[in-house]
Amino acid sequence: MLGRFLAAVTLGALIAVPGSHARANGDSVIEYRQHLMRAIGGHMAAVAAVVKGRLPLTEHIAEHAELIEKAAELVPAAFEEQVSDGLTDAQPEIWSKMDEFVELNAEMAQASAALANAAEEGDMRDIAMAMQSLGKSCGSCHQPFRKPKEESYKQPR
Amino acid sequence: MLAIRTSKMTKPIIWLFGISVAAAAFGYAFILPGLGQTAKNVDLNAYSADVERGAYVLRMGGCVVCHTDIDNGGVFLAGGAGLETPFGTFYAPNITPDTEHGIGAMSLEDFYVAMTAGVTPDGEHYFPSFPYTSYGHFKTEDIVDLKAYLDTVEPVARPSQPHELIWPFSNRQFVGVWKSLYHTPEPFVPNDAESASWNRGAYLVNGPGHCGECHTARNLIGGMSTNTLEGTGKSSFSSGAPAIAGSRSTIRDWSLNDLVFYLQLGLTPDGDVSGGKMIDVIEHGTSHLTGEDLEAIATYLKSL
Repeated sequence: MLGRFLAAVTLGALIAVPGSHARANGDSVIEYRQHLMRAIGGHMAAVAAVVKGRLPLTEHIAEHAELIEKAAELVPAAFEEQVSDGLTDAQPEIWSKMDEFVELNAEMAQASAALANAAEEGDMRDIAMAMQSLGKSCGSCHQPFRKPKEESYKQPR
Repeated sequence: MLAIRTSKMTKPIIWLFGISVAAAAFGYAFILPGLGQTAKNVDLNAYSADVERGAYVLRMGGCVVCHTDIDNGGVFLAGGAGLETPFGTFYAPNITPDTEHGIGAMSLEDFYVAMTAGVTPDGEHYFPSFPYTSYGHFKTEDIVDLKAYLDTVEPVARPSQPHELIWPFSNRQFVGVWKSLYHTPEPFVPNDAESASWNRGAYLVNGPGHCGECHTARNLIGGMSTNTLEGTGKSSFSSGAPAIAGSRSTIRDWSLNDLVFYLQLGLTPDGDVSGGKMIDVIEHGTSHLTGEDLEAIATYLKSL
């Protein structure tokens, strides 16, 4: 009885999260963006683990690359609203140069498609080259638009 | 009365001042240029040059990264983009064998002295943006091979861009003082207690690879801290390179394999990519090294 009552209260509280509270909203935007980026990074790390460990899972590489391409489609909307304060490494330049940001993201999607192709062909050398250029395309966007590691909010201050 | 008395007092002061100025001028003109000039006496003809190895030494030394203007599609080794520092912007010169604008007129001896002692064929000091503090540990045969390779590169008649530095750092005379404090060009000495791979790694990291030039903190006049490779930190006077040794090392949890893979492709174990200058260092430097050498680098770094 008490359990059911508490559950109702908790659920009610969840639904009644104040949408008008800008701070909380900003934090949620950041949280979503970071998980989206981490998902891309996770697929990248998985591909790397297959190659590094010479695992007999070469066909998985193509799947991961396609999932990265899919995730890239979500990036522009995730960054539509400017939230550059708080626990984030997003640079305000994303919003002053949104066209460039979107373009670099599209190039990243192309690079992951190229990796998927290379993986389907199965030549490890080509796969490595495609991974390198996908990595470079990640970096080409992080360079202008993500705070460098030394300035990251994650650094102890 | 008062005026006369002061003038009597000022005379010796003027003399003292004059003598100090003269001493300083003498020191500036005759002592400073001599500081930090020492190059080891070695018989360079004892080695037979190997051009192909020299091409590999170029990658070991990461030379391409600074001496080619990569971002603007500059010609190979014909001079680099600016290296911004608190002292101003340094431009790595043209090192193609063009006799006027490159290093084509340099003899092997000149080249050896430049690499190890940081002194030009005219006897002037190079600025320490040319990392002779690390290159001083180069093996002689590697320098011989490197020069032989550089002689085969396509010469390019492109003038080197002059550095844009703030005074007093713009003055080459003062570099001698800096060198006497921070530059000890001693050839690499292997540690017999460690494996061959470890020793190879130590040589590559501290000598040609010159990793510490960015990954070690510097003081206000650009001297390197003794916390070698422990990163520059946020507040410090440099480019913001992470720690790759010591308790705050960012690669502590990486496996040997992770590190080798990173130096080949620039991908970190957590799916992230390298940033900043390291992108070029990997693409134009470490990714050209053999798996064996990368393992050696990883073995050494993991031991720190």
